[in-house]
Amino acid sequence: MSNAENSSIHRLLDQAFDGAAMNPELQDLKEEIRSNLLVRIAELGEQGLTAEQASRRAFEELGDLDGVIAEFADAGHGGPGGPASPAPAFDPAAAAAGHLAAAALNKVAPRPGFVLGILILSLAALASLVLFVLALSGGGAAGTAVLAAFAAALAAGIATAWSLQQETSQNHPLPRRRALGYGASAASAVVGLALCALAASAGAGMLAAGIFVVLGSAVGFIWLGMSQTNRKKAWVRSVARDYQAQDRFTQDPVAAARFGIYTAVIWITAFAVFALLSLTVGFAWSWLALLAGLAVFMLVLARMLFPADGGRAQHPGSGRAKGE
Amino acid sequence: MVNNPDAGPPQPEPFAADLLRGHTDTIVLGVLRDAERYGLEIYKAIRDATGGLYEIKEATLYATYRRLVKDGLVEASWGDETQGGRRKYYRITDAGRAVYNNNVRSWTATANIINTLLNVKGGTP
Repeated sequence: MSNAENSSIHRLLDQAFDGAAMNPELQDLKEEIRSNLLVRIAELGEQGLTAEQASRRAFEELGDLDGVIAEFADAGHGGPGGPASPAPAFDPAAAAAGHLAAAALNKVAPRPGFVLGILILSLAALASLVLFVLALSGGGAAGTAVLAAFAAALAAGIATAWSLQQETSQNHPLPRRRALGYGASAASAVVGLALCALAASAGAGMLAAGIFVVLGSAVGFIWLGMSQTNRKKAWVRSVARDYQAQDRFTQDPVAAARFGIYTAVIWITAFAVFALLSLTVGFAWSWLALLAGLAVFMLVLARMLFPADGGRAQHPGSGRAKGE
Repeated sequence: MVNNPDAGPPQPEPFAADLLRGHTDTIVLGVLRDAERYGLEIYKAIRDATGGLYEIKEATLYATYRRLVKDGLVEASWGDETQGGRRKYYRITDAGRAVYNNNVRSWTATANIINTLLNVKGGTP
């Protein structure tokens, strides 16, 4: 039974997509429709239809696919996904003008109340921080230090949650619960750090509690970050799409591969020199090897992304500079 | 939860299908608000919410999904189904929630204005 229904549905699908120039997006659509059809056919089969009937019925229920297929086929042209389509001619001046217009159209001015509120919160946080440091260095007044720390944490948390709930020119506001989650994580980070700072006067127990709270805050941030979905506005995404594949590494995979090898050579050498210097000269100077490695790495990156001679290959000598 | 301007008993009743079609994106976002779903599930949720009064054709919905994904309002991913085939699931993003809330607000405001202008009280002229 499953064979018969499958062959029928695959035939109908192939007929529907016949004539359209396939691109990855269309192929994906076809698979998606196929998976939904199979679910529907199974349901109709349970209602007592034969395999052939169920296939026809499910396919008819879909409606007219031609319009959708045409839309997906058009999109394949000019998009970076279409393998058969030639690369679109990119006019940076026209694109920039379009993006400026889009930016002007989508401009969102921050609300005066919010700006004022954030200013007050920042001042409050700064004042509490100063108070906290004074109370700590003064020796006594542990109560004042605790109070100041909590005020600073509260200010940081409120500022974080409030900012994330603002609509900006480029971002949609975060839903309230997620914004509050970020705020709580920020506040507990401040509380944890304050507890660690109190350890000097209050003992190691306080340090352990502080580290525990900081870890909790880190777990919160990691969870929020991993479950974060897109909040960019559609116009920002369209601008980003325009510039996608315009950088050197996407256009020239060979340059990207060469850069990867340079990177490996630079850092292996830098770490080897760092280890050598640490053992011979000592830690006071060995960190210079890492600094030199970073400098060379950034120079190579700049040279690779923006070649001086208009796209010609990069000379391979730069990778060796730092050992000396 | 779906915005159904014609909430009422399931009986053939004239309604502005064009007006409804103009809100397809928001309706799909509303369906995805509490859970991630695959295409057929979304289609059924919409059909069932209107009591079978109105359905948006599945074929039309595929174009809607694509538009929503392109604008970053929805994320699509192929699920790993152990029984049956793989299914493409859709999940609403934070941007999608914000757009949904905005659209619902503007729809409610518009509906109120039109009701006032048409002198409607309680849904009857």
